[in-house]
Amino acid sequence: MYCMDEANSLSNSVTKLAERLGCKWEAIDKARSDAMVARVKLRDLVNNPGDRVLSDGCSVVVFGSVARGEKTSGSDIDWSLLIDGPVDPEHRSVLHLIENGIQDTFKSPDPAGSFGEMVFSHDIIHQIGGQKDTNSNITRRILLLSESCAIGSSEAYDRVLRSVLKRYLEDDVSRTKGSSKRQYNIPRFLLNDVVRYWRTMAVDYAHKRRARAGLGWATRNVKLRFSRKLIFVSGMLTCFSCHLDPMKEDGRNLCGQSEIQLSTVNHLMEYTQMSPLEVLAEALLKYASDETARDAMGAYDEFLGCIDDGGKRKHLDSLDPELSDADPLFQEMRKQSHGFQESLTKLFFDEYDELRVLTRKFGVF
Amino acid sequence: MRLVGCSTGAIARGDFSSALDILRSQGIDVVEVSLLREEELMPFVRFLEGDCGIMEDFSVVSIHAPKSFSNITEEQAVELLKPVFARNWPVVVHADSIVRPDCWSGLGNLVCIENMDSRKKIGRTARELEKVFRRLPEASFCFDIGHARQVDRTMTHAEEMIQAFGDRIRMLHVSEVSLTGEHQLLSRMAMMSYRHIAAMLPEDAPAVIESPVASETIAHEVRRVRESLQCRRSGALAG
Repeated sequence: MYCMDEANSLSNSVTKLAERLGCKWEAIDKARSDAMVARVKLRDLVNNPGDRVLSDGCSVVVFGSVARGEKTSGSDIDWSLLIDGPVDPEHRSVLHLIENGIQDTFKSPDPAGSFGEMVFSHDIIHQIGGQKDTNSNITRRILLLSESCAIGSSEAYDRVLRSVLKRYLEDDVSRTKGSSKRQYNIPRFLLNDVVRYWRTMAVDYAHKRRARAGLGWATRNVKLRFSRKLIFVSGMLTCFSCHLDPMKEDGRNLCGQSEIQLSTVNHLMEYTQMSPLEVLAEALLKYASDETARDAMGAYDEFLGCIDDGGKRKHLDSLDPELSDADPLFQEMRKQSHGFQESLTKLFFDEYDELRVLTRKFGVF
Repeated sequence: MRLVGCSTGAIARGDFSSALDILRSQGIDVVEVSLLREEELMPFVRFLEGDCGIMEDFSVVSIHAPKSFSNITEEQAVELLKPVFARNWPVVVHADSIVRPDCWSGLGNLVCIENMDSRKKIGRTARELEKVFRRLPEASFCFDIGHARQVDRTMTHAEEMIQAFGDRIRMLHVSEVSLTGEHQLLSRMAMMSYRHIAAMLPEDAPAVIESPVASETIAHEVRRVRESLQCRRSGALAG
């Protein structure tokens, strides 16, 4: 997730990696540029100077490809009205006002999805785990952390993000026990939720295949192999960064748990300001060989190029699962996804000892 | 059509003279001179003693009294405001500023009591205002719609205040007040809220904008305030 105004400066990791490898990833560049254009249009809709739409206590938040900086030709706009303030009867009216504006300009979100609605901070912050943490709630929460972007005023959005992170850290037993432990740990509560969400996406993929009788299956399959997996990867790397990043060194000067917790919240907030691809690129820059980095980003570039191609996207959208084994396009994307997976395996298990230790210790059991 | 103007504090904070020039140059003829800080009171009194011909250019003038009294007493403030009362200009006073009602009691409906935002403990609701008006039964009412919405976004308390004291309303203050009490330009959401109660407001009460407005956007904000205070016939807003 990254803020619109800072998107260019935060695209550093991908740019730096491209420079180091001497690569040009055209589809990645185009998707990022198209996402920026979409976000500017959305900002004009919600926060036109002289015609501000929202009062304080709420933010318009976009998720999905536009927030990730990966907008392709078929992208819809997944958005929510995030409310973190007093009840206002006009929330409903303003939701419709924004909805109408978005419908006039963009493709609307999937009506069966978790978007295009009012979302309340209390559910996101307080209902982590338990019966009331519905599929929609965990989706909103994890996507808020990993691929979201406030359009216009971000006050409520920033407050909710910070509160969610604080909640993960406060309730993390492994972090709070033993006040003498003056070091950064992996935020296990958060990591468990990241892992849970990845498994939820994979299970939902199987559910949707059955529920929709295979309609749109191939596109969802390819997305699961790339963009959905990337959310998981960036979530893992974000959690591991609490141990791996230089903040660990600064942490030695911190005295108490509350100081460490605040510092960790700030560190994680910085990561939430990066898109998942930026988080991956950052890790590839630091921990991977050039070959692995080239393979990972190259495969992802192929994926975005395919999804952005209207004809290919249409072909995948309508591909019968029974015919996929003999379908050249699907098989090509499958092959690319194996390359992507292989690079990730090398990154997490083969090329950097400390990352391998963390992955073995926290990523499996 | 409702008269709409601006507070000098909204145009040039702490500099009523510049604000008056700007408002006159833009043909705004409703003005409230903001003397919210007590040190602003004496310069305005001196201004009235001197060449204050510019005030003739405004058809509606009101004065906003200081919000608190620490260097001068309440009694001294009322004394200093005598030239204002002499011109029959209403003086808007925060409900929580009045500690000694006897100082104000002889001034009738020129004392215009304003409802408060959530940070204050007095004057936020009809019930709280009733206590204030009981002590100043002749006082008029400055209904601050932004304060009312900040206290209760359902506008229920706003409706109760208008029902209880609507016949006293002499002025309207219009802005959007943030959850932390800052005046802001109107958002669409605030405009929708205001339209719900617009029909209950007396048409002859002038509206004073308190949002900080750049001089080049005064006309735009005046239009938005007019649109907000139009009687609601449908839920839709133009634009």
